[in-house]
Amino acid sequence: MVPGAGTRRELLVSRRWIQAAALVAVFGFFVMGVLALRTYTAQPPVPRLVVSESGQEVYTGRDVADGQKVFLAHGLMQYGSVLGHGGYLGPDYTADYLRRAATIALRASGGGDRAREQLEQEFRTNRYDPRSGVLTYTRAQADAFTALVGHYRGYFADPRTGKGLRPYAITDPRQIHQLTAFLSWTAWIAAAERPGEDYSYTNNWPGEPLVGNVPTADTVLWSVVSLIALLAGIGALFGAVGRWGGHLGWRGRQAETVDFHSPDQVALTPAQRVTAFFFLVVALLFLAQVLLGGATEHYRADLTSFFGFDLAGLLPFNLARTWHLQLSLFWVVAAFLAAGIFLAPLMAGREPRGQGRLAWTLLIALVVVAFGSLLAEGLSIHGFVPPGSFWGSQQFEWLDLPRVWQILLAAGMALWAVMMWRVLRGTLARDSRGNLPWLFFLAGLAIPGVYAVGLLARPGDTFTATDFWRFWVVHLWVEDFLELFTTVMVAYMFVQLGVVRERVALVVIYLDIILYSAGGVIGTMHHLYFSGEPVEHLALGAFFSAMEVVPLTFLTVEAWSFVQLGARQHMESRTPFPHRWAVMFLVAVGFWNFLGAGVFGFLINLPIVSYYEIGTGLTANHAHGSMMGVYGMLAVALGLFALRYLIPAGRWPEKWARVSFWSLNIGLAWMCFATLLPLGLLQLHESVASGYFEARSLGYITGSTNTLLEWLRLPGDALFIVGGVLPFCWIAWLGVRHRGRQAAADPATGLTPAPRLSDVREPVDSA
Amino acid sequence: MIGPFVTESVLAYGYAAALLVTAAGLDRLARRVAGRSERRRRPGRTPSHDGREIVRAPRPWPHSEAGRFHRGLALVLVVLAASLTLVEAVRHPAWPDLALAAAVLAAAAVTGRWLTGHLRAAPAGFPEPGQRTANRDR
Repeated sequence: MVPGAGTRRELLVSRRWIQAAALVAVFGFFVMGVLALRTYTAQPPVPRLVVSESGQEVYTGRDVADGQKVFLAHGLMQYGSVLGHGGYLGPDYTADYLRRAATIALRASGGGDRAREQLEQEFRTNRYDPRSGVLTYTRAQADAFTALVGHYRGYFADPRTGKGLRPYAITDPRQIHQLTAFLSWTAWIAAAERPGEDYSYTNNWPGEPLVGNVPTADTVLWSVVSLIALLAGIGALFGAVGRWGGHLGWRGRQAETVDFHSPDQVALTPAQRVTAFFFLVVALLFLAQVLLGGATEHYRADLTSFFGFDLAGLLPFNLARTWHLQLSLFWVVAAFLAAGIFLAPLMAGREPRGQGRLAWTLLIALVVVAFGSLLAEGLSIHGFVPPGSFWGSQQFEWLDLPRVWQILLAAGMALWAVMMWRVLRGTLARDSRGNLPWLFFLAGLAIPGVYAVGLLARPGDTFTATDFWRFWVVHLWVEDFLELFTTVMVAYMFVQLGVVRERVALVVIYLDIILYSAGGVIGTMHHLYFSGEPVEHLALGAFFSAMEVVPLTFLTVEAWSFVQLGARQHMESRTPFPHRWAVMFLVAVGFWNFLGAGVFGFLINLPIVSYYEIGTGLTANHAHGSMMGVYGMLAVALGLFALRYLIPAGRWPEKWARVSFWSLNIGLAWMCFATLLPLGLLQLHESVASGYFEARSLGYITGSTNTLLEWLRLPGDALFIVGGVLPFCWIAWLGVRHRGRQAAADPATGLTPAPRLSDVREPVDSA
Repeated sequence: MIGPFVTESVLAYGYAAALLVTAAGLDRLARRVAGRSERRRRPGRTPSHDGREIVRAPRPWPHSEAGRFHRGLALVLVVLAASLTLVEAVRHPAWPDLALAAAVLAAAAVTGRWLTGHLRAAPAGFPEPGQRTANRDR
């Protein structure tokens, strides 16, 4: 139906899809709201004052807050971790403090079985008085604190670089005291029993026999429930696919003849041409990211020397890792934003005046934010920025950029949403709010919206609360909302190409929303089993995150029909299908979605596994397999899609696109299977057999077997960089050199017509 | 030690064997993916006095190239399995661990040859413009 003036196009799918999606989403976020409330009401207290049995001050609550800022500002969350969250080269400082304090206390009491029993009781007894806000340490705990201030003073003031930290990393005695106070607090909540319970605030994490920390009954029970949920979910999925599979998933349009326009025939709008520069920036950020990844990896293979050069003085491990992680977000998100700029005019049929200038503004803003934040992180880790500075220091893992840059990045994404609105508003006004243009716009609006939630994580707040909000970004934003946006974008790409009907694309999108929201929203809590949240976070996180594998499995099943529709659609085309490698990268996305996100993710998802595994190699295995395998490959796919029209047909580097495709995938597969997976499995075994503290020790990590496995990665990483990333940079450069054909704007209205990418040669059935 | 074998060797060769099994699984998956275009032939009706049904086989691409992708990754796992085996054999060049290494290397060689043959027999199949599908009267 063609809408007349003032009317909207009818909804192309049943209202039940919208109702189901809304119901699942509302339920999910309602539960998240309750969990947010419980986080604040049931989080471990930060005492106003910690005293010894004789009444002497040990440290204050202010010291804990400031110590957290010191920990973050010096990039220690990218070196080691606390409560299991952070980097993997250094120790988990919660486990480190707990082990050392317990050992000091045991030694002071002379050792023996009776002393062990007393030690366990001392550490597990909760001596916090909520009325006065005072926590009383036993004499042994207080003495251990004093001793460990001395230990960490020597540790962080080390003039050598043999740990991968910069020399004299922290020398200020006051900062050392504050830092030790923060670590002591994390160790206290790890052992002291939650009032009314027989387990600690962190559900008895980390495992530490000296203080009686063993997995709780809930950890085991909810692992079993999670596994049952997974099996039941997948069973239901296959049942549904078998029963309704013909109505779900991708189905090609009935018209089987589509003529694709040659790139030379496609005249681009001003903003579309600016995306050439976006994708060059994407490629260069990707290159910087992988080079820093190489440097980070080298520390794990050879901690003391970078091929004879002492890198740690200038680029210590934690700085390399900080930049490696931040750049991964920057280049992927920049690619998604650029793809949105490229696709929006295709949806609207035209582009308003000034969109090109706005695109330039956004690009420059992104570059400024990227470099500004990276520079600030470098200055902070090198000690030039006061801890907790709004301008220069934040450094939660993944949310490393200082708050001013975080706000600017959110503002940049909001600018992008405004750009989408400018292009799409006419289309949005004429279309049902449940159809593709609205889904695209709303999914795009969620990008700055959910990212901004990360601003609720502030460096001085209780770590339990900051971690809750941090994972809204790391999980909800990355794994759910970006996933939703990319599903809509890819669907739109193929609707624009004419290979799938809009209604079919809508069904797939709504199904994805339902499946992802069912598991992924509440499943966010699978990151927070042991961060001090109450046990319901563990229970709900374990159950719902198991359901997340269901949509990943569905996407793999569905991906085959997605691939199949391409087979049908150009069987009689007179012109070549221009997106061979964009499609192949999407095939790779489907593969890594299942393997990297699904299999490698579920491998570490059960609470009982995470209890021993968190902060170890299997997490890195999942992170690389999913972040690069899914989002990285997708970003490259989107880039190649747009670049195909930015580069003349005769100049399209088909060979380098092929080389890049194979090199990235082979390199990633080698990385996972040669090093990350076996190393992670061995480390998990060590954690269970010898202890979490032992498995995280530098001595274990730099052992001969681990070192060999790290070096084994070299051929795959070299291929990834040289064969995978460099060709992509070359293709992006060609995009800038040529920048496609410019479409002529209407001088009266300033509107530039958007190109058509294909013609359907036979009429299509309506609806 | 696990029996007469060094524990590390057992783990390394066991992992290499698991990689070979995974590679075989990927090849099987590739066969299913690449064969999908054959299994999904749809009848297209052509008006004719005889009312004959014309079967049009869909193009093999992108199934064919997706199948190649899986086979390519499968071969990578085989190469990795062989590499790990060789490295471990150098680290522990003692009998009977070398017997295990020999067995895994032999399996890798057989698997690699088999997969390479499959890869060679599975072209990407990306269509050139103007190519027509084969129609078959039925």
